[in-house]
Amino acid sequence: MNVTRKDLLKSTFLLPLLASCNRYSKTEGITIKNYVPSVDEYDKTFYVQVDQSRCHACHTCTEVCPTGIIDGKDKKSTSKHTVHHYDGCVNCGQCLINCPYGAIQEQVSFITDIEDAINDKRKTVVAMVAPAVRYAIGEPFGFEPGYNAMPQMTAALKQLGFDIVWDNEFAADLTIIEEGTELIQRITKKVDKPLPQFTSCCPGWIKYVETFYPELIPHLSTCKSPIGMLGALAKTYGAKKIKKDPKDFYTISIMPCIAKKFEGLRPELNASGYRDIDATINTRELAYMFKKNNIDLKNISHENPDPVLGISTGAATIFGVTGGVMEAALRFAYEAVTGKQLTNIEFESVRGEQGIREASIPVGGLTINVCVISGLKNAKPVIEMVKNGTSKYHFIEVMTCPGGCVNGGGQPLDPDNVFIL
Amino acid sequence: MKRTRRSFLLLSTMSIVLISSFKYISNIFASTYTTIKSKRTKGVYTYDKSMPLRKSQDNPQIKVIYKEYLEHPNSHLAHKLLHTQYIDRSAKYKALKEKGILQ
Repeated sequence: MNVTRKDLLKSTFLLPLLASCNRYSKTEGITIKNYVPSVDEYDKTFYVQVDQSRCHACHTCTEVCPTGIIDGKDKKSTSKHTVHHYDGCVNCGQCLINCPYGAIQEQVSFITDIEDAINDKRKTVVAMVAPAVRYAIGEPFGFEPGYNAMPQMTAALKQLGFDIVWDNEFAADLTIIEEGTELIQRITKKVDKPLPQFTSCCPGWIKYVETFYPELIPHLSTCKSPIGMLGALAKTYGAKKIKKDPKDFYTISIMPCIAKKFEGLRPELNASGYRDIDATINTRELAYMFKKNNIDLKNISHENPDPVLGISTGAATIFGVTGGVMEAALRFAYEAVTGKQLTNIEFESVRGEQGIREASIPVGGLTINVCVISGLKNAKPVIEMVKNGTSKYHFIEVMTCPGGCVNGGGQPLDPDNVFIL
Repeated sequence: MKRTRRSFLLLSTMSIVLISSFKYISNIFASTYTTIKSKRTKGVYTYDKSMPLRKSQDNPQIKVIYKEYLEHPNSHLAHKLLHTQYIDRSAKYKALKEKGILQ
């Protein structure tokens, strides 16, 4: 093609125009395979799989996979990738959000089930929103990443037909009280359980321990993840408080995560006498549902989550980032052990972007040695130390996704990562 | 170089284009250093700073639920509803190892 001066000038004028369009507005990139596994088959199902026709064998997924289950067919560098077996996959979805060709797709989606439940007038449809979702749900609607769109999202969920919006941050606060108390009991030897204690909020991490390091199971906190707690409380305490029959409740957990779909289907999550969590969707799917129903988060009123299970604190909102659970637990443990008011609330030493961070925090007469792992690939050296008995830590937080839940596998895609957008 | 009307026009157009697209160009440089991940992280910490209550034990709803329902942390009812056990799945890993799928 012969490029004339006129063409060149035209294109120089057009480029800034193109750039002024919002880069984040087309980032749901979801593929609905309307398939919901039964509770018996929840661990015999692929949650992500590679579309062979779109794979370019670029190895990005192999680099980010924490277990190495996603690889070339015959482990040759030129063959297209595939998830070889569901047992070796922790369902974190890092391959999906990092794939430059959009070749990796989710295999389980509850969207149609949720639409049926909303249309069923007898059902009380309850939304339970995770902390990290509100910082990314705005992106497909033109908000900057990191903008807290919880008030808009609550109004949009009501408009979509949800009867109640409860906040999973409330359950995050409850997790801190339960998990922090458990930690203090372990340190003061009131219960006969080993140290260090690992966090149990991350479903990818839990499946990883169960599959690869079952000898570490006694080290895991026995607390359910926040959504496991909120699901059980919604159908017991919550239903009692708002005087509704828990039989008609349909609880939907809205998560920045693909592995939470696996967790929501775990057979043991039925403490309320019913299925604690009826459906799980992620941020991308929620954005898709809003757009399908012509709901624009930019032009909508603001609402607060419903009372009873809807009030939260700053300690709960930082659950969405790496080091957040640790920091929230320290804010609780300090006051619980010393009985004094904590003045310096921010524990800068557990924040940051490095894969492994450690700190020693003086709490009354005790010194609590903590470790924060961001990205499951970084967990191995610490796990080996714990197995050998050479670790000095008391409390270890592990988040499967680098950076924590805000960078989870269910979040809107990063336009910098994906060529096809 | 001879200064003609034509070259003057060319130079002025180019400089206008450069100045007007400065924001776009600097954005490109900025976005290579601030990722979407760090923007979201910053959003979380900024919002934490703006909250009136920043410790879980200060949440009024938490105080109510322990008073009305759960009694105290790690109580019997709390263990029934809020705690769980884990499943040993290592046999499946061994099977994968034998098939040569995982190391």
